[in-house]
Amino acid sequence: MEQKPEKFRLRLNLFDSIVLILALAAGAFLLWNALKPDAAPEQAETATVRYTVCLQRWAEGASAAVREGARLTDSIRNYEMGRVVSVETVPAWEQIVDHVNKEYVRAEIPGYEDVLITVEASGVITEEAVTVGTGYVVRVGGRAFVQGDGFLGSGYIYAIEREG
Amino acid sequence: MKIMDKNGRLFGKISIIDVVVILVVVVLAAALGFKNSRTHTGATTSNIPITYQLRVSGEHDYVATAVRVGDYLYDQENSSGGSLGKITNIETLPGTKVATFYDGTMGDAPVQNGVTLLLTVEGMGIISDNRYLINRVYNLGVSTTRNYYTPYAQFTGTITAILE
Repeated sequence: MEQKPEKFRLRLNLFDSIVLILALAAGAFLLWNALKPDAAPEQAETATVRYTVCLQRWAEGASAAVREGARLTDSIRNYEMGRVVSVETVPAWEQIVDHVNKEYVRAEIPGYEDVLITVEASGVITEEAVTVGTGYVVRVGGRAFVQGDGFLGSGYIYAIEREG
Repeated sequence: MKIMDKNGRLFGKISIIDVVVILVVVVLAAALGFKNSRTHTGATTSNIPITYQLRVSGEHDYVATAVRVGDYLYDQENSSGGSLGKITNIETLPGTKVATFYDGTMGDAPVQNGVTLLLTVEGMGIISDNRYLINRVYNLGVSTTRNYYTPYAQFTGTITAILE
């Protein structure tokens, strides 16, 4: 005599249901943890950043090589730094110890000048950094290695314009 | 009444397998909860404000100008788990820093066009095992000299006091 195949019936008792719900809840929690979006990034403000870089100890007159509108790049990491807005020269100086008066003084270096180049670039300002161009972080006091159209120089970031 | 019936159910009601699964889930949940409630340092205390003073000695005036109340402070080299706090006060003093002189003496020497900044910084952290830990990971200690930065400036400073 032919046997009828037994029909499948899903039967869950109370405890199976609880276990199933717990397992599903645990799975959902783990999935949420894995897929949830990252915490909102800190507020960033896109702005035009104007800053001044001081290139040190250029021979007098050499600053003529720096022209307004020239494009500047970081000569080490090749980041774009922005475009030259203005150029100014001041006597070159070096901080040295005056052993007679026992103080640090700024000694001028005859025949040389420091070139103050004001640069404008689009950038992002956050609570941690001012980043311009293609990722160049600008901080007053930081070293700068700069390449422009036909010139190379090194110095430091002298100023960053900021509101207030 | 038998403890376990022929179907493997305890007191005829719940499968021994279900009991084991429930126990495993409970133990895993407890372990996860315990792990998440502990800090990296093993302490279970919550963050408190920690106020400290940072002395920036004999810094160039152009760098000092770029440091302002409300700026966030960061460490350049050491992992700090984010900002070390917000600058809440800046006291400006005559610039001095240590110098070595030709006459074989050393001492604090005045710095021409330099200032000394006394920054008051308020961060969040814990006190654990007599250690002040900003963001629970950054070890703060009086007399530590490190390189710091804000969004607009970078400088070297020494922690001179922890005010709590």
